[in-house]
Amino acid sequence: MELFSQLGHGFEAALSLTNLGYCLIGVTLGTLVGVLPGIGPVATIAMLLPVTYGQPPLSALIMLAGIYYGAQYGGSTSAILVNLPGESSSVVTCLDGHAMARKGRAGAALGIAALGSFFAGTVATLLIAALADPLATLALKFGPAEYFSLMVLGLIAAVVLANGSLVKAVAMTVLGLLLGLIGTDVNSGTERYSFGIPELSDGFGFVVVSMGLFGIAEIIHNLEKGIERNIFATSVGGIWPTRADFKAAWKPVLRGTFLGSVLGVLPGGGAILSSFAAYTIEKKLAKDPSRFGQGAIEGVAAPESANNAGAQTSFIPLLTLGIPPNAVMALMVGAMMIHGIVPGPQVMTEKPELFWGLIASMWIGNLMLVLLNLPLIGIWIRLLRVPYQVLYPAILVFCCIGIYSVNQSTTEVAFAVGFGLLGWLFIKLQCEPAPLLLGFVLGPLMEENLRRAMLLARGDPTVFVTRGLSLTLLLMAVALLVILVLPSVRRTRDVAFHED
Amino acid sequence: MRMSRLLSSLMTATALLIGATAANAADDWPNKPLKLIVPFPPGGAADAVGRIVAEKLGEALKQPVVVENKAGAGTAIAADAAAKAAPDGYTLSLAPAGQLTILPHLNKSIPYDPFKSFAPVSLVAEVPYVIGASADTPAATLKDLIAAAKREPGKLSYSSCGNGTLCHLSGELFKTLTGTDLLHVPFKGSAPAIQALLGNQVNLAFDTLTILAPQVKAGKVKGLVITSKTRSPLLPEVPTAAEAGLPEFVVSSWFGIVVPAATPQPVVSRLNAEINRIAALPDVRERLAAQGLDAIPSTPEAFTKTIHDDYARWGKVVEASGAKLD
Amino acid sequence: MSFRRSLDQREFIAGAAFLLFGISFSLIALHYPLGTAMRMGPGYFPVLLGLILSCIGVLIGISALRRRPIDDAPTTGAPFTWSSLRPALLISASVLLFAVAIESVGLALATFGVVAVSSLANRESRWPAVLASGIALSAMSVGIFAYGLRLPFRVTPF
Repeated sequence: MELFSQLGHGFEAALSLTNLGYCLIGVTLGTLVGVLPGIGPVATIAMLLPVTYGQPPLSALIMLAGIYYGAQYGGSTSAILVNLPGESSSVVTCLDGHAMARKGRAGAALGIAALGSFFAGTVATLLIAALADPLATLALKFGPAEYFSLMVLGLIAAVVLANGSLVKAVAMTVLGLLLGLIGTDVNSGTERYSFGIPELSDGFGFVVVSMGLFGIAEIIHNLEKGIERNIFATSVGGIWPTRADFKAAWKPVLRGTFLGSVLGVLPGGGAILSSFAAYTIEKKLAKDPSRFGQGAIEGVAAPESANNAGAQTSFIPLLTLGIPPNAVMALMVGAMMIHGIVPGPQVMTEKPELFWGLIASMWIGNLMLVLLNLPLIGIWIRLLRVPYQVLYPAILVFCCIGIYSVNQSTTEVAFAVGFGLLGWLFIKLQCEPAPLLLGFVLGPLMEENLRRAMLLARGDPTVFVTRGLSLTLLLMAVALLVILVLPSVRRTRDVAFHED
Repeated sequence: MRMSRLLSSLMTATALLIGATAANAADDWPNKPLKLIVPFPPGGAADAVGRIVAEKLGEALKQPVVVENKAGAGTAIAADAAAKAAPDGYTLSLAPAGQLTILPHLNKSIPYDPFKSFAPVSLVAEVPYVIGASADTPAATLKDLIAAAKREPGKLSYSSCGNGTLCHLSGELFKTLTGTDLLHVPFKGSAPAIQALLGNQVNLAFDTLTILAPQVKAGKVKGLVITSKTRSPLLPEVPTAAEAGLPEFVVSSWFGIVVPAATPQPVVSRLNAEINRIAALPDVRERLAAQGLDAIPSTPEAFTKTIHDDYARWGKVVEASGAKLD
Repeated sequence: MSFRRSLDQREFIAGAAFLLFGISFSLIALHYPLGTAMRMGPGYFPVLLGLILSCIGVLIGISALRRRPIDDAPTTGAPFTWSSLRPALLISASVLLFAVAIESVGLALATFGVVAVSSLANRESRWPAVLASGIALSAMSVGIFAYGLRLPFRVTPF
């Protein structure tokens, strides 16, 4: 088997003491910055880029890649513990992960997230090794029409994220779409809703919106209720996932891994959708969907696996096509170029030891992350015992620094206050912010691709149904819509409602 | 003897003192860390240039030069911050060509003046443009392309890295020069624009050598023409615009260093000298060349002239194409 | 009964809020070129979405009205008392303070300011404890962000 001999060579390269060391540095640093909201892997990799000048290229890439997927692990930690989604992919983890933490089951949530991620990372690494080329070809089949149809599917799925009123969830999604349109329109260059404020010409940053709606709003809400009641139930049972947890989680992990691996390959939007899609599927498959949002372990296992699988397979467009699918990958391109490696279709054949070494290191890195994160769970849980009156100013500080660090912009910090107050209003009105965030992320992509598809088709709307892949996606969207609407037609949907 | 010694040391001290006052800003400058504003997020050619300059400048000045990525509003946010910074020589700004020569034409409300807000220090590097054609496009040379575009006006399309960017306007310049009509399809950045080219969703893409070289080398994209004066060692098969019969197709994506307008002259001179020295270092040239960038250090005057010339040139293209941002 | 009423009032306000958002987004978008369905301008999509949002808002509002028990007139005035507004105002103020302070007096004092002002939002805060956690957090944030991650922040006023 050629594949195994190549992977073997890869492991040989990745297992050298130096490379193991760099891998460990990368994943540790990644975990750290992932936990800090807003800072994220982009800033860290940018900072470390100059350090890599002196390293051998493979070591440099191993370290930087480690930061990237290490941050995915870390990101789930802050989502679960303090309800702060630093990236769009952690938004869904907040829903059930943080609910579990409030019930004293933070350890179980963190444990399942780590183990699910490890499994997903393993599978995705194998997938890159075996199927990088065909998957990259699939990515190229996605034109504007396909992206539009995919976004439609994603938006319909977004509604499932909500626990309460379906109508309000739709409204929040639409509001999110509108908020996402703020800023310069890609197709015409017109600035919309920016009112001459330069910081708005690229729209609101994701971190600004999510820190406001989730972080700040929740702190205001908790304080208003009075914090005599402790926010977190003191540890119920052990800090590890139970046998029942594993039993409930293994299938979601499998499904999440599959979804994440496939969607992760699509640059622009794929990675965002994977965790949302995985959550939607679990909620639809569950015997009792009402548990979701209240701390269902499947609601953590599936999206976390999808997220990590997607993080791994998003290396495929970079390694096979030379196209960086996100900001982190763009930095990896920079890192490769520093070493005179031109990322592109030839890397695989011209520098096999680099390609396979990197892939092997990803598996090793994932293993390190599990070994690193499982013991950390104990420490994180102790953090939750810190009285809330000490914890919340700290969360606020990290929110502020996180937002500021993205663009060194104080205006954006001020915007977050606005979103905090808006989020507080939403809590009072029982409108859930998760669908809004998904709409916010997908809105511009959807409009952009819709108009681009129409532009390329010279104004012919049939383009969405004459292309097979696009048609398939639209049919799936219709099917999902039917599944969604049917139950509420059959029985009058009771206003699901939980006073906490 | 003693007297004369005292006198001479007194005189030396006075001379030093006068010298110090004359050059006062330049003399104790720099005594704290400097800041280099880069108008793009980390990653990409501009960031790479900025970080190389920052590193080497820091070594030369014995003060750290911190890179601050201030992205947004098509580089206008960074330019605004750089224009408003204290003119004390501690805030430098990496200016890409478009920031000073294209954006002011497109957006009349930008809060800086490309000529009055800054004191140009030196050009640093430039990268030529390449026209890439997708595998399905019925053209292997520039001549084929122009013929095909004339046969069916508006049929061929090109992707760009965004509205009002150099990618977009080089496409518009091409249209004006050749009298052809191409459909412009803007994307958000180079990566998706090239992806559309690879997926045969568009026929052409105008982008930098850095972005297109790997795809052309791998045979996934046809390289029709390069805008540099000589062929690039990265793509020796791709003819220059002059060779291909379109010598007026001159596009250079350059990066220079500017400081706030009122920065003391001695500081500007010192920075210019350092950047000229840095740009000549073999390892710097090598690192730039790996990205397809050529080091092109200059005098402040030459840089000023480049800004004026390109400003006028792109102004005409913007007008002819009707492109605008509001 | 009062539970029922608060539910309906909330639904009504939610509907009104969505209607307001929808109308404002649509109205502003009317200033942008609309284009046609075939060649959409920058205004087309937002006008459409704004209208959809307004309709949903109306729907939510109407269903809230319809569900209201007849003999039970909705109480007017939102339940905003000083004690419920206090956290909102003070938390907002603390974040805004950070925005103002980070570039003028640096990270250390900005962090301390956030802790001090946000602690006012909680009546049980004791000053010695706030002081201690403010100093500890300032040291931490400077250590982690300015020195550890070397983010280009101003650290002190000097």
